[in-house]
Amino acid sequence: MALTRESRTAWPDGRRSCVMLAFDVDGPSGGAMVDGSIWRMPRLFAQGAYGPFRAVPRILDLLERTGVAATFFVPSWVVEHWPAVCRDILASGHEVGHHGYKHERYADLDVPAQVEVLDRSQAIFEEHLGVVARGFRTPTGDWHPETPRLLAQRGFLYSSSFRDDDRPYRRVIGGAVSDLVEIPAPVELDDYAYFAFTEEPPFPKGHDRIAAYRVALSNWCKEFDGTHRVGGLLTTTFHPKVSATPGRAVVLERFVEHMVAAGECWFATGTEVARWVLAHPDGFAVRGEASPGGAIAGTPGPGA
Amino acid sequence: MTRALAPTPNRWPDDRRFAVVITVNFDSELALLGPDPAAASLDKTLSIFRYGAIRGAPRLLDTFAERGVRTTWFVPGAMVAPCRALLGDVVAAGHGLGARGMRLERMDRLTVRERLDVLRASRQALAEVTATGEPGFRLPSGEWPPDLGAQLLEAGFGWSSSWTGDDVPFCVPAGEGRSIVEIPFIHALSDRLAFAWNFAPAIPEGQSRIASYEDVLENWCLELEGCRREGLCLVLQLHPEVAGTPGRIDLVWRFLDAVVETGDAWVATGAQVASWWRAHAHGGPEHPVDLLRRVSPSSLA
Repeated sequence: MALTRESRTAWPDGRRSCVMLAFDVDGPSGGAMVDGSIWRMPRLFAQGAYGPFRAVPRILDLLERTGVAATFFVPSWVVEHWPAVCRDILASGHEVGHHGYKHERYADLDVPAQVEVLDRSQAIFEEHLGVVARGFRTPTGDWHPETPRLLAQRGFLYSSSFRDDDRPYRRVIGGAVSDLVEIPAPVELDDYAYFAFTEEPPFPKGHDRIAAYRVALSNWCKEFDGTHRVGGLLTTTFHPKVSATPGRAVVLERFVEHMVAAGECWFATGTEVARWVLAHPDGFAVRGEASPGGAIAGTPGPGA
Repeated sequence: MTRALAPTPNRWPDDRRFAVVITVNFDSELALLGPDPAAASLDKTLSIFRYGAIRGAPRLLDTFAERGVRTTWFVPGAMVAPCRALLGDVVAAGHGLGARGMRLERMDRLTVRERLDVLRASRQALAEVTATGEPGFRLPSGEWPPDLGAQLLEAGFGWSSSWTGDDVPFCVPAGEGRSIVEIPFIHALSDRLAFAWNFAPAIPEGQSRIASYEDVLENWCLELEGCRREGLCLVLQLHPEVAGTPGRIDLVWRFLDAVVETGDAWVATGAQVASWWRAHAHGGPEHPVDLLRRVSPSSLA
């Protein structure tokens, strides 16, 4: 047995690793909707709307075929305008989480504005779906220093936003260990890094090539294989409008089949992961806010 | 019971399972000169695009003839006169035509009057080459002005291939309850976005490396597989100066082989698909263009 500094994380039923398959159903929301320019860009609107309109139904079919439960982070503007699709997500046994109203960047919002987005979105979820969100994923980059406190106060169980681990951990807020779990999401499993393309505004900024589907699939499988080997958690940031075109859905299905075939992997929704972490406080790290000096508050835990 | 679209017996003619529309954007030098007339002195750079007319287009025509497929060529009106002989070959082989404005004008930067003038002039230019089927329109670049549908109808265009956002054709509002048929594409199915490259001016803006030919063919074939699975409409965009090199024409050959080998593809021109869709459009959930009109009436007339 090789020496290793990596201790094993315990997953339910002795499972070897955990996968939280997750999709961000942004639809046409985002910067152009926040600044209003989307209303002069019907083609861009349609490109985004493709997500809830065509791609989510295709993904729900795929998940049914493969028998995997997933987590969908949905801006509440999308819930308001595609309520039937969002209800189908829940009816199919999946979970919905918070992702802003119009995909606002939390770092740009003061506390009252964040409260407004959070509370309005929960009301929309309640009205159209009969549930409130227990999970949160930052739309567009960073959150505000006060965001985690606002989430914990509102009963959110987890965020899936950071990049700093390949295991979930409990977050320190204001110097105290909170019940807000972070489920880090690596950029390697973000389809924007491979496939996203818009003519105007240009994305990627230099209009880089669309990656080979085969290469993306190979990278994703390697990250899963590694996660499975070290017993960690892998989550994805897949956008239905980006990675569920007819051809990319073929690749996505192969990726899910690859993970299922590995066996002994726990496919969990965000809430299931968070509840497992909270129920096993000794099994997971506690991490906090970066201090002004750059040191990290909190203690490393198993697997750190 | 699937939630996504699934193949249905009468979505396409003759029990064909899915549709394939091969399109050629024959922009030629106007790809550069349209947006930037000052580029007229850049003879070397312009020669990149002239290669399309000199070598690429005839090579594509031979390939299409060899494979027995009918395609659709979008041509800026100003190229019709200088390329009359070549376009004569295009229509003689049974390919359809479409317009790209006169000089690849950005429609969202013209006044209503200017737009209508440009659209009418390009329609007239195409009329000088007699093609089968009604001519279509493909937006060169920029956004779709809210009333463009109505102006296209007024200028004599009944269909377009300018949007993304769907896997089958849809109807774009064109004023007074009318609509035009849109045959949408995806960015992954474009040779230009994968391969076009220039030093100065920089193409693409970030000058990323030319993609692997084999990888791009594999992407195209995966999209073909996905489209066939659900009975959708695949739209490929080719550019003679890009796809028509001796090495890359091989990709076109092999992709067309893959299409033909399915045995159940309806390879059709844009005009054929538009005319079929107009007569056989199926219902379904509210389309995003109708949703857009509902929530923001000024976005789409």
